[in-house]
Amino acid sequence: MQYTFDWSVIWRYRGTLVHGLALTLLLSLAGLAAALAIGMIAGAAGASRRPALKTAALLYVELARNVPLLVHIYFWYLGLSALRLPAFWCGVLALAIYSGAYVAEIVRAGIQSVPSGQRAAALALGLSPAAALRSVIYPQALRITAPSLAGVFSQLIKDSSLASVISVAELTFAAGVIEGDTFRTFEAYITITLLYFLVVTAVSRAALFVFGRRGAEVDRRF
Amino acid sequence: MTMPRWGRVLGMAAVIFGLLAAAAEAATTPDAIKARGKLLAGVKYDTPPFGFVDQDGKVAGFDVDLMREIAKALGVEVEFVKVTSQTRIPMLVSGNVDLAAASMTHTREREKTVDFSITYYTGAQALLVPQASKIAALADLADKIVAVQQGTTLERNLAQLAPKATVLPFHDYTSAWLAVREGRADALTGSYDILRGFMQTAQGFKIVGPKFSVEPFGIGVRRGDADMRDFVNAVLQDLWTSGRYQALYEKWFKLAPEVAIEMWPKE
Repeated sequence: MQYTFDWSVIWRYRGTLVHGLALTLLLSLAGLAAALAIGMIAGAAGASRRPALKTAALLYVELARNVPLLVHIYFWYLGLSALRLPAFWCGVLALAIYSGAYVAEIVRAGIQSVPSGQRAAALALGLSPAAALRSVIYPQALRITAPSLAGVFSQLIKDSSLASVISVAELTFAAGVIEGDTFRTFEAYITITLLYFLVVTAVSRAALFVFGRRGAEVDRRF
Repeated sequence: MTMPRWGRVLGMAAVIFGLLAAAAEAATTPDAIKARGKLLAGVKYDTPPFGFVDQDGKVAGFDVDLMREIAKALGVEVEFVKVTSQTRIPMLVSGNVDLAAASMTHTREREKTVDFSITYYTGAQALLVPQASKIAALADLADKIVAVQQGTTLERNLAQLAPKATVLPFHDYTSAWLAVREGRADALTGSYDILRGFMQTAQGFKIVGPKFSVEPFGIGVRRGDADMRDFVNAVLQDLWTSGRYQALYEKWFKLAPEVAIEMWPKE
């Protein structure tokens, strides 16, 4: 291959890249927060004993998970274009609803993996069902599910690159800008690959650390 | 619907294979193509009338026909390879395609990365708007949303000429066009002939205002590959002399070429 790399373009376009990275982080964080909220509720509903709640949760999980994320994104941006939602929020919505289903399944499995004796004991000690869930079931479930949740989080950051198709100027989009202006495709995409790698590694390590430690605290308390 | 994600995956795959491939450059590129018996032509599949998939599911267009002519001049068959904005340079540099004819505007900045043939088409930028739109020229674009292909000269031109417009850039033409059709943008800007290509695929759109900017298209060859570039330049000039170029131009753009191919005396 006859090709001379010219990394100076990366420095020249550093502003574009920094802006792209910031937007990727914002998009992922907003998506993450919403996915967690949706997942906690849908997961608890899925693990509940009420058939109506269970069915509703199952319906949501199947609908959200079995449709490609790209279709989710186009649905909010083009399918519901009459709403004129800003592209960024279409990306957040799509990511949250899509990833929320995965979080829900993990939360449901986590809750169900806590022995039923724990709940019975909590209720016997006079805790309300909600308090039992919050102080007894969730902390244990969280520790069990920490690695899976970290996996979903890192997946979500990578998935956020798809928002570039609806003109959200995140990191992948920034690579396209450099590519278009300079034709330096190799340099642009190698750079964002490294940036994604660094960010995703840092985030998944941090998530494991935080959730893992909270689990350890629970261990000490009991 | 194009799949930009796959385009990127392909691009990265091309990077890896390109880096692994041993650089065994013995003969000149035209000789290597003749020895192989096949020209690998990188063309777009989503940009009518330059490179697109026609009603029979076959790739067609002005770029595509020019590649056929170059293969004919080499005495070989042609194999069309789909390229996108993200993959055309990695594919070219790694040798997955011999030429990139992908409606590329020749700029000095891009010249630093690949080499271009002489200008084979001179485009001008225009605006495509819905039939009912009040936009009649660049001056009407204040506070309007204009869709455009990302990282193009078109994007830059628009930002300069209509600074009050909101530019909405997309990875590819098709997505930008979809945004206008779905009411996400008020106008689409692009090369006049490409806009005409899109306009024919849907009802209720019109091209407005005087054309602006000059977009000289070049065929991309690997940087420093003078043999291949010279060969392509000679074929383009021969096509003009024989009138074949003019015929192809009229076939795809429905009018005679306004700008002649640059001619060099034979000796």
